[in-house]
Amino acid sequence: MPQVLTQAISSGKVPESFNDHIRNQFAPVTHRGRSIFFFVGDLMFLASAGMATTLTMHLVHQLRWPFVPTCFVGMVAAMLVQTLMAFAAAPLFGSIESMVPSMIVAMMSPMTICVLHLFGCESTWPMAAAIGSVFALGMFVFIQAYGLAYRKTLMTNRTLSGG
Amino acid sequence: MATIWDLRASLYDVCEASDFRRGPQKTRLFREMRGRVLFVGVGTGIDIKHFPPGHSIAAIDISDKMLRKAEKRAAQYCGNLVLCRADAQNLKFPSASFDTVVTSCTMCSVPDPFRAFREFHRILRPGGRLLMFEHVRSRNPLLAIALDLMTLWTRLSGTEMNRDTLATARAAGFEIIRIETVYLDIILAVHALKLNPASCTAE
Repeated sequence: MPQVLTQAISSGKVPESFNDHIRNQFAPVTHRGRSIFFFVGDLMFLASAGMATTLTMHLVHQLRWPFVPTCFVGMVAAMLVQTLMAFAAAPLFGSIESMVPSMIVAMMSPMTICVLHLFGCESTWPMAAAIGSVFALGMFVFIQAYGLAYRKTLMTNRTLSGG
Repeated sequence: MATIWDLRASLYDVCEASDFRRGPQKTRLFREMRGRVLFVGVGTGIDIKHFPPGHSIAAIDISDKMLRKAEKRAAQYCGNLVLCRADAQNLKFPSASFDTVVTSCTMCSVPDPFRAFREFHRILRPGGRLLMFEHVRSRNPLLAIALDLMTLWTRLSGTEMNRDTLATARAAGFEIIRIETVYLDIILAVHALKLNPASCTAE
């Protein structure tokens, strides 16, 4: 930020709302830092959500109930855990940004525990955590690739339309 | 509808606390405000800090409680900002009285978005611009399913996550001139222009 503006702000000559505006004007300076923060943050959050929801399903399977009620209760519990985690992460990572990918992970990853059980393969705690992380990583890669592809589409359209 | 938003007013800032992530993109979009501006769905005023200074802005919301909460933030705005209660689907402003209409996560919550867009079209001057910071249904089937599922319960609080807002805007007579991605193809910063009335299609 130019020194003259910094001085004007610190001396109180510029109203607070304008301060915010000036800060926002210079936000691109920290753009790289923000990108790295959200890249790492999204990955960490998805990994946590993937592990937590899959471990929840694994926990329900430990109750030794019949298969169908186990899967149903496990899915409900996993979705509840995911929703609470997404709500908690929303102020930092954004509501849609945290809710949408984690919901997909929370639907698919715990289901794997049920499918494995169906084929006679009982998962362990570390295995459940690993499954959750793998699904989370897969989702993260998909989100990055899809985001990149969409940005490219927009840029191509803009170039074609001369915008 | 107003009752739902009155109830949501007390928790709105917590639920919509995505400003940390989306703030810079909002600032960039709002920088495109020109002339007399109508901001639709001001809520508790969390977006006011992103308004460029020195503009003449009328900010509306359907909820009295939201507007009361927005008063403090509106007072800090360095320009002319007036808050008033109004329904986006039935605006009381005269035709062709604004140069820019701005929405921010609003069109997901308006019961009849086409009607609202027609109102925006009416109150905009010829060539007036519509700036939208909105979330829409993804074109990816997997992401779209997640948004459809979310809508099952967000609908209870008056919000639909899976609307095709861009198509509705086009049908109401706007030309989308620029789209910027905020998050995938779900959260978008959209620049649109008012087309002449002959090019509108009824929905």
